[in-house]
Amino acid sequence: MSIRRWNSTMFIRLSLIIFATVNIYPVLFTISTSFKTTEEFYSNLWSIPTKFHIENYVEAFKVGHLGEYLVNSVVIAVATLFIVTVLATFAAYALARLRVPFARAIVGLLFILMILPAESMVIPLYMMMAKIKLINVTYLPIIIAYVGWLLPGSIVILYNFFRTIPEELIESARMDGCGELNLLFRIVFPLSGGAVATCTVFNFGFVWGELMWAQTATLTSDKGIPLSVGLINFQGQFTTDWGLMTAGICIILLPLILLFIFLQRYFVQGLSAGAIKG
Amino acid sequence: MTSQSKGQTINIKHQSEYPVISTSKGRSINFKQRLLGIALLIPAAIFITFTMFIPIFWNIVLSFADWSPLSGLHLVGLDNYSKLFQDSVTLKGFGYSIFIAVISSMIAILTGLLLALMVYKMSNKEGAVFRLIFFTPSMMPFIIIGLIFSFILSPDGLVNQFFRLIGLGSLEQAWLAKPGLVLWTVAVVSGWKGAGSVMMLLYTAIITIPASMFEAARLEGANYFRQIQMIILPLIKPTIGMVSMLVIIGSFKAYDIVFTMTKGGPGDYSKIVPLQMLDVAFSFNEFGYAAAIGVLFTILVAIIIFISQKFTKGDVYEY
Repeated sequence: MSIRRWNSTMFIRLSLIIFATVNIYPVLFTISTSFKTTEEFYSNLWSIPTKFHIENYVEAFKVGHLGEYLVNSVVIAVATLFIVTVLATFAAYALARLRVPFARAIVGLLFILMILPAESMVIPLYMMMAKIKLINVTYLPIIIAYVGWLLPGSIVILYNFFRTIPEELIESARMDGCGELNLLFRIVFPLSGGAVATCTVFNFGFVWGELMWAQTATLTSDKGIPLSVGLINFQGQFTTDWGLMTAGICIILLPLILLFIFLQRYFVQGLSAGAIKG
Repeated sequence: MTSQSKGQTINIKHQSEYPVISTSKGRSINFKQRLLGIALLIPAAIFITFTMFIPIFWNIVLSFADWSPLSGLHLVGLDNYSKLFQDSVTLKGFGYSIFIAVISSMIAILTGLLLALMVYKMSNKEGAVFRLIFFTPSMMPFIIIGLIFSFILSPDGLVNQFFRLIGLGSLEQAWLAKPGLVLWTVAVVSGWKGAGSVMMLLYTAIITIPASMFEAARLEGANYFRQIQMIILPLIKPTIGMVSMLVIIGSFKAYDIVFTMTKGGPGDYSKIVPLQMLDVAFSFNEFGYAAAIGVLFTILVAIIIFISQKFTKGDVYEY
């Protein structure tokens, strides 16, 4: 009995390890390739780099303008996330706790908006922005669209979280003469670290990698191009220069991994909190 | 003092349960609150209106019209739609989109479920490591996954080299350049990416099942397969339904991964609807036709979500 049980656990563990290897190896392989010269890459694909060649990175910044794109992406991401977090907190608090009429209907509508594919908005949005001469302004068209598209989802997540904050807590603060905005910033917002972090991570993932709108909005301009679009252009230019290409991939990957590590504790918590039934 | 505060609490309960308050002071507080609430909603509403409501409405209008930067807008009735049904590239694009969505959703849900069931059997620490590893790809944007796999799957890439290494050179493929194969490749990669978040959500559902249930099952001699069949699957069925919905919705947003991996090629063999739509708009300047494609695509997504919701709805067990 015990031997059979040990066997099945071992079998599961083995399958998991194999799958984990398949999962993680492509990323490790990409990172290791980025430190190799082209000759090294073709002479022995499997070897880990003997020496860390950073030429690929230098080249990527110099030839591919990745430094410029990186700055653009950071500006867009920071501005978008800041605006989304503030506005979504306001809106979610109003819907959850300020007795706005039709609050439930509004949340339902936001849920539907969240599901709609961006495909149905890209072309008219481009035309609208072209009409009011916004499309050639650096950063602004991208930031405005991202904020608008991310708000429904963020509001829904924060709304669900704010409703779990005990009514008694809020009412007693009100009784003590706490103003509504004070209440929001001093009590509700500090309690929502997990939910805000969850939103931030998901929203950052979207902003950092979004391609369709970023491409459309920078179609006629060469300023304010974010990293995602920059890398695609890069891919077209240096198709088989894998050292350079993988260096580019690592540059876009690094901020994501950093954020993931920093906020992991919060948002895994937030993810499971949202999933528990009830 | 104590009794006073107690009295207040009772009052508050009363207030929150019955919003209509008799005292005039209470009503004015309530009114002020509402006013502030509406004021706080306005900035978000402006953004959403500008980037979603107006474009969606405008897209529908545009789909019945002809527009170019020079000649402006004039209505053409159903011309764009009749054109759509005669355009084989667009129609095939719809087929490709559905194919990728169906295959990648199935892979994501089945793999995710299997992983969740296996990770659940591991000890806490070991499970946490596996969860982190499996969840990481799900957190990465499609463009990064796409770029990495266009590298891994290139003719000289990791996969082909691996087959050569283990002496199965005959399995080498031009993964992203062979007409019949390219859709499968994209679907598998995209499904693999989705599996991580499915695993995470299902795992959190499994751990909420009370341990006493498994205890009872063990006492009766049920092994893990039996436990999965009799306890886990029926109890997490609602979560599986919800997760499936999310996966299916996400699987239609395949523009990023297809564009980074194939750019719609080889030829038009992976030109899914969004790629075709943007091509029609910006390469051929047929904005009205592109809008019609967008409208039909949205309707298609809505129908499939509706069907899948009907399909995955099951009985909810209380425990």
